[in-house]
Formats: sequence, C-alpha cells, structure tokens
Amino acid sequence: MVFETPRVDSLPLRVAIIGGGGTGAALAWDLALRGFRVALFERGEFLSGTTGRHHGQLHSGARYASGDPEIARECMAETLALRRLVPDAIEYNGGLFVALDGEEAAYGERFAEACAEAGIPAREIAPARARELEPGLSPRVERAFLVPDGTFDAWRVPAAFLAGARALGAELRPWTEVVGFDASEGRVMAARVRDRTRASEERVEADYFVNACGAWGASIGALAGLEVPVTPAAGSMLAVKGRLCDMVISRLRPPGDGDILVPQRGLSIIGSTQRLVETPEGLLPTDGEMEFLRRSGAELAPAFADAEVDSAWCAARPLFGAALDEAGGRAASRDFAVLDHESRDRVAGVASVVGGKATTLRIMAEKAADLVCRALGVERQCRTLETAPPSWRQLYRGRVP
Amino acid sequence: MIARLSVARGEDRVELEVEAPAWATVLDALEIATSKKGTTEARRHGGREKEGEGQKGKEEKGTGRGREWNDVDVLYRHSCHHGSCGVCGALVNGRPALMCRTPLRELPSGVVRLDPLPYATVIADLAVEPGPLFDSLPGFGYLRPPAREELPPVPDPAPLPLAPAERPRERFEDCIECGLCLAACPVLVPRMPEGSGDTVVARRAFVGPAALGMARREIVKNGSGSDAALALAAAPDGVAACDRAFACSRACPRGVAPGRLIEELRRS
Ligand SMILES: Cc1cc2nc3c(=O)[nH]c(=O)nc-3n(C[C@H](O)[C@H](O)[C@H](O)COP(=O)(O)OP(=O)(O)OC[C@H]3O[C@@H](n4cnc5c(N)ncnc54)[C@H](O)[C@@H]3O)c2cc1C
Ligand code: SF4
Ligand code: FES
Repeated sequence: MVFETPRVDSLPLRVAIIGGGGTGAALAWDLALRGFRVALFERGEFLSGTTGRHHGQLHSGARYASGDPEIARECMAETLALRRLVPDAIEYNGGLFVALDGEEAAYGERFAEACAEAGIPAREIAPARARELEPGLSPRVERAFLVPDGTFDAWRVPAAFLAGARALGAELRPWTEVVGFDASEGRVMAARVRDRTRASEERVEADYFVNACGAWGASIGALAGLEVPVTPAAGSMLAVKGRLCDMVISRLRPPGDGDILVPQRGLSIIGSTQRLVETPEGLLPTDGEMEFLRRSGAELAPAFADAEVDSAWCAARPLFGAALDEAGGRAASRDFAVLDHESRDRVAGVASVVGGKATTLRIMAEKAADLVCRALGVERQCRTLETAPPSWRQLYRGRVP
Repeated sequence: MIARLSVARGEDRVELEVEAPAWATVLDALEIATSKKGTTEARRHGGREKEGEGQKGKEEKGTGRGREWNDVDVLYRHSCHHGSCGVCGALVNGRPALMCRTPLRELPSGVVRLDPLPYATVIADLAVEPGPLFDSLPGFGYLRPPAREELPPVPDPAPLPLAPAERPRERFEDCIECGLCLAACPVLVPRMPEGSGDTVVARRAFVGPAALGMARREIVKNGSGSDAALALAAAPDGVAACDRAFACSRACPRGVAPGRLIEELRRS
C-alpha cells in the first residue's frame, strides 16, 4: 500500500491550529488539502487530551436521535464517511439498543421514530435474536434494535489525518504550548508558544488562528480576551478483561450514565459518567463512579460483574454552551459550533471550534475550514470526503534523525 | 498513597512526589504530579526538583493562564490510559512497560524509576520518537486492506446481517504497536542504558518482533498478502536475525507472543 500524496494548489496563507486532538488533526488535514500552509501546536503528545481517551464508539447517531437530531444526522453521515476513509481503524460490527425493563421497552417507539426521522436505519429484532447475536447480553432483554454503530480506534483515526497533513507539508509541533497571543488593532497577529523540549518561547505569526483546544478551549480563548462557551465535564470509564460483545451495546433510554458497553480488542468498556469540573486537568474516576460503572456494566452483560478490572480512567468532555442543567450537563447539546470571534468579540483573525464528538471530527474540521476560507477571502472546496489519508503509521515513519 | 517517581532527564533525574488513589497507575501518578497547579481534584504534594529547589508553592488556579505548570514540567507520551494506543511505554524500574497498565501497588514500595524506552530517540525526559518501530512495520494489514487509491462507494447505512455465521466479526489485531518488544529485544538493545540518551547500537540488522509478528498474522488471516509477509520473514534481517530470547513475548502487554509467532514463521 503506497500513499500517493494528493496534488495541492498552494496558497500563500498560513493558518495556525492550537490543539492536536481529533478536531485539530482533521482540521490540519482539511486545510492542507485546500492549499493552506498549516502549523499545528499541541502542548503534549498528539491526542493526549480528550480524544485519545474516548470510549471508541463510532456513533451512528441513534443515541442522540430523539434529543439532538442535528448531531444525530451528522453522526450518521460521518460514520459512513469514516468507513470509506479510514476502514482499517474501524471495527464495523453494528450496535444494539436493548430495553431491560418495561419503561425502557416503552421508549422504543419514540426511539424508532426519532431514528427514522434522522435517517438512521434502526431495525427492531426479537430479544431472542439479539441474544443469539450477542450471547453475553443480559437475559432480561425485553426489546432490541439493531443500529449501524461501530467501534473505532481513538488513536488511529485522527493519527491518519495528522499523517496526511504532515505528508502535505504541514508543520506539526507536539510539545509546544500556546501561552499567549499578540493582537493589534482588533486582530490576532501572532501566538506566543513555548517549546517544552527546550523550555524556550517564540512568537509565531499567521494569517489566521483556530482554537481547537476542546475542553481547554475557554482558557485558550481567555488568553486572547475571547469568550468561548465550553464547560469541561469529567467522564469516567471502566474496562474489564475479556471481550463480552462484538457490537456496541446501549440501553434503550435517553442518554445517561453507564449506558454503553463497547468492546475494544480484548477488553469490554463501560461508560460513562458526567460531572462538571473546573478544569480538564489531572482527572481521575472517583470510587463511587467505578462502583456505579461496574454495576451498570453487569446490567447489560452479567459477566461484567466478575470480570477482572483492567483499567479505569477519566476524560474531559468539551460541553458546548454555558446553560447546563443541574444534573451535571447531560442535557447540554453534543452538537458543535464554529465561533467566529470577529462577529462575536470583535477580534479578527481567530475562530474556535467547540463541542462535538470524536465521530464528527471531519465535519467539524470542514465547517471550521469553510470559515477560514470566508474570513481570508479565498474559495477552496473541502476535499476530505474524497481523499483518503495515509495509514496512521505514516505519522512517525521516516523520522529517525 | 504517596507515590515517589524518579524520572530520567538526560543524565539527570527529576524526583516527583504525589498523592494518588491506591489503585492508580504510574501514568495516573505522573499526570497528577505534572498537572497545572490547583487544577487537579486529587490531593497531591506537587512536584519537587531534586537540586534543593523545594516547593515553589504557587497555589494559583491554572484556568485562563497557560503557564502555571506545576513545579516541574515532565515530558511523557500518553493518550488512551487503557493500554490501547500503545504510546505510553517506558522503562519502569528498568523493565519495558506501559505506564497506564502498571498499577503502583504492583511495584515494590519505594521510588519508582522511570526511563525512556531504549530503542528510540529521546525527545526529552520520557518522550521518545517512535520512528524506528513504525519504520519496521510492514504496510499490509489484514483487518481490511485499505483501498486508498480509489475510495469504495458510500456504504449502505442499513445494519448488516450480523450473526457471526452470516458475516465474520471484525476485530483489530491485538498488537497495539507500542514497541515494548523492541525495547526488550537483546538483539536490538544489547544493554539497558544506565541513564537515558545512550546511543544503543543493534548487534545486527533485525527488523524486530513487532514486524515479524505482523507478518505471521498476515499469513494466517489474509492469504492474499502472504507473499510480502513471507519475503519479510525470509530477508537477512528477518527470522534469521532473531536469537530466540523470547524477551519480546515476556514484555508484550497484550499477549501477542511475538516470540512464538517468529517460531511459527521459521516453520512456514
Ligand atoms: C468519557 C468520554 C467518552 C467519549 N466517548 C466518545 C465516543 O465513544 N465516541 C465519540 O465519537 N466521542 C466520544 N467522546 C467525545 C470526544 O472524545 C470529544 O468530543 C473529542 O475527542 C474532542 O476532541 P477535540 O480535538 O476537540 O479535543 P481534545 O482531544 O481534548 O484536543 C484538544 C487539545 O488541545 C491541547 N491543548 C490544550 N491547551 C493547549 C495549549 N495551551 N497549547 C496547545 N495545545 C493545547 C490539549 O492537550 C488537547 O490535546 C467522549 C468524551 C468523553 C469525555
Ligand atoms: S507485539 Fe506486543 S510488545 Fe510488540 S508492539 Fe505489538 S503489542 Fe507491543
Ligand atoms: S496511554 Fe495508551 S497504551 Fe498507555
């Protein structure tokens, strides 16, 4: 397999991306394909923020269909797109939504309707058939729907986009933290970055800056005097040894805690929880969350109860919007927004991408790159739907000094 | 519990002390210890530089400022925190391990010594450039050889018939491409470096256990790709260069047993 570097019609414009998570990775690839000179700054290793720690569910959107139809549609479209673009980083085994009691069974009607409306082909199957497909499932299943969910490798999908961007000449700089911005006459002119490998600072000029810092987005915005409505929410996850299912198994009820079981290689992972936190730094699951997750996993797949714990971890969700409910923000939208700070804060030359899912990284990047084009007055179409990136392995190949 | 970490910094070392839950891993401890001041939920004692700098003790919140790093800034690679991405390898008390799958309580009490993996070039502290591993890995992959030149049509969104008999289940290979097997291999790394940053010269050209393991799986799972896999194994730096130490199989965090796969390759 040889990756043929796509031909690109170069523009004399430089765009700096702050944040090397999934969103920044897809944006680097998108902008590089459109011909921009791209620089990406990530303060740690790539994907060391939220993206690398996510649950691994490639969302068909079924989970969000009844409450958040917009993100549901986007998830369906992106699931199909990613299956074409990065097939080797996806296990496409489908998903099951199962009702474990009468109330959940009654939710089935609303679920089916909402999926149909959002264009997600959910199909009801008999509980016995569901247990035939996934013998590890709880015998309490009263109702089951088959949906086009899958699992994906949290590292490999975005790493492929980073590798593609690098192949097109993007300057990707891990270990480089943005510590400030220089603005003049209402326009961000430069970022000040700190190279952590040498503890040295430098000034980086660009024609446009994009804040793709996920749950860190508000504090990065604050460095430039921008208001970025992102709230970090801690989500915990618990993995046990053994693969209890091949499909993604979800509870047939409105999205809540501990309601998704995802297989990953030889592990089964239950997630997640949600609590608002002040900052996304240094999060760990609480003892209470781990007990809760253990019980929740066992409700879906009884063998979860006695399986050996493999690992437990916590990641910061970038919740978009300041209006969060008391329950810890579950009702906040999973949708994303690209914020043009010129119209919002009267600061030109900078935008923020906030919210979303790992599943929607490509479309988030497309919308952000569209804004960059408008702001800089260039007409370049998005090419990421038709161009497959190289293998994730390419990211580190040929880099032996 | 209080964890004490001694992290390589070139020829020098950085000592960290941190309070972590009893079940925490080496990676958890490292992350808490290096989080920005006042920003972590876990109580901690913060970092302390070795050469008598003591606690700088700034207790400001990190929000809105980019610079209030804990007393020390330590570079290490991490991403998934559950043994799936393969990036957090290090020498833990001298042995190659994933930091995210090494619980503190499974280590002898006392200071935990952390050094960078010896097969790769050190960027700083524990962070390495894993180029040699990825350069060694072949381009094929059995899961679904990607059609990169011409994209497949948009798939049918309808759920597939999914009984295993109707459509085989897809599953990633167990190998997470972490390079611990390369770090453990006595052919590739003839001696464990005392400090970090030593240049380790391979005893002889050897493509390494990860690549050969991949070649073997390719032959078993994907017949169409097996010519390339056999050629990889038969090259002078293929199976012939292996010393049969089986250090790779012992080091592998995912039970891939590359040593056994190399033995199977010799016979195929
Ligand atoms: C528990 C949990 C489970 C989830 N499960 C799923 C799932 O199954 N499927 C799914 O599709 N989505 C899932 N998500 C959502 C998904 O993980 C996130 O929406 C997505 O990863 C966010 O990506 P991002 O690039 O915007 O943010 P991040 O990945 O956090 O990237 C932001 C980056 O910015 C960097 N940064 C911060 N400050 C600076 C600075 N000053 N200078 C330079 N860089 C900086 C950070 O280090 C970080 O790497 C889950 C989220 C959580 C919390
Ligand atoms: S064979 Fe094992 S040790 Fe070697 S790279 Fe793969 S997972 Fe890591
Ligand atoms: S952080 Fe992914 S393997 Fe350890």
